[in-house]
Amino acid sequence: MANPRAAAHRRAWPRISLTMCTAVAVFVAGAAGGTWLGIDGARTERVVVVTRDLSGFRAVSAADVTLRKMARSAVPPGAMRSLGSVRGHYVLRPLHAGQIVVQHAVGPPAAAPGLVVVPLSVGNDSAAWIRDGALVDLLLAPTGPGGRAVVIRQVLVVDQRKTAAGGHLVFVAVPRDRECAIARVAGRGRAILAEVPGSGT
Amino acid sequence: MFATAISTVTGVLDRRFLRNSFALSLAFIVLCGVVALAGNGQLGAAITIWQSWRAPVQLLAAAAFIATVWVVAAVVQSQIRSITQAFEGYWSGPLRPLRRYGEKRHWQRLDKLRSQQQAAQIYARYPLSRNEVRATRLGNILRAAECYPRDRYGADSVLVWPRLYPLLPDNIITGIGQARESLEFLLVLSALAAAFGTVSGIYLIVVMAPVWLFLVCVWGAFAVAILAYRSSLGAALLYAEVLRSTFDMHRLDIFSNMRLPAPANAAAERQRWTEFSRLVLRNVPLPQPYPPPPP
Repeated sequence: MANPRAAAHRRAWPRISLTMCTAVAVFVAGAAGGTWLGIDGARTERVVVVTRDLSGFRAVSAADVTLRKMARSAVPPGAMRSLGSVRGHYVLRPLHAGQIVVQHAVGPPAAAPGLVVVPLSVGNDSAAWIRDGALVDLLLAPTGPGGRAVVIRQVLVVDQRKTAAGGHLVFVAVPRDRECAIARVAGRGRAILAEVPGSGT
Repeated sequence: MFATAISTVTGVLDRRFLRNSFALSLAFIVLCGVVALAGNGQLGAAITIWQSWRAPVQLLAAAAFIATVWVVAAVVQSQIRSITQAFEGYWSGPLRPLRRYGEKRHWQRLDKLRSQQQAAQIYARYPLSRNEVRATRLGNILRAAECYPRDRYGADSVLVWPRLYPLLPDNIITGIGQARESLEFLLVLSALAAAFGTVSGIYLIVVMAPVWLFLVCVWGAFAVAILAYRSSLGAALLYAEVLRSTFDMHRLDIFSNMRLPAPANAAAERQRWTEFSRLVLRNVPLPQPYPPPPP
């Protein structure tokens, strides 16, 4: 004898429309996929990595970096997570392909093309208030007889480091055609950084 | 002047193609591209690269993109009939169980409407014969219109319609075209939205995209697909009624254009349509003599 309850149950199923079945299936599939991605997102993280070897003080182009997913435990402190925060900026030290980009390796946004980053030894009193990314006027004053002062305006301060001898090294981006003027002063002159009003230093 | 140029261009180009295929294909391809880039975190870089191109290069890229969309739209246009049949429930192979499920459900619903004597609902939404019931609501609405000439007059719509259509007045043809165009737009929208939801969902799972992007793409796209399908049922009801009324008002134009006398009553009309089908399918000559040509 047929089970009336089972027969009633079988009759009930076709009352659900195919549209409703589709909607339920999509909801369940979406929830399952979202849960999977959420679990994966808790274990992994997207960070900025270098796609090719980069030399120090080079402006990062769009093709130089990419986002890569990796285990959260392998991500170092200060790792960059946004491509926009790296692209178009200077890198402050050489990076190898596949290396994760960290915050202290990223400098200010690169200035106009055709500039070169040069190190300058400046007195502590001249650079005490200078911040990375500031625009300064570079005053190159040769000491001793001969030569004349050279002024290079609106120079971007890329990085600053202390030397082993206790001095202060400032890396600035200057036009390529002013390298000679800097070379003449280096070693026998004095570099002074002058704040540019409104440069945000 | 701009409005005049637009109206001239759209007048030259088929409006149905532009609306039902090109516009929807354009939206589909653009959304696929945005999701593909955003899923990998490359959307900003792509915009930067685009902005770095010079104007002539941008124009060439835009022209190539439009040409690509045009080709895709042409493919979509050629498949509108298949898309419509898919929504009508003409399923085979691994979808056969789904078709049987849908047909069984609609049998139950048809039986229920008959028991409640809901003649108006049955007229608009179901063919009279249980054997003609399809798996989807759209399929039943369109099948009801297809079966109407046979059920009411004994005329096979598949044979009659291609011969009747050229005889119709322009305003009737325009009305049929507009009703069909609205129906096709919603079905193509539903199909492309479902395709986008499926493809983007699979892609975003593979690239491990953010959860919010995955849910927006999948749930959002299928919500659009389901809403578009539900909206198409209203358009289908209108289209089906236009077809039925066209048969009612103009079916005898075929006999008059074939220089045959009009049937005297309903029974004679059924017999005439039977003879017509034999003529078309089996070359059996009509028994009625041709009247002399008009002076």
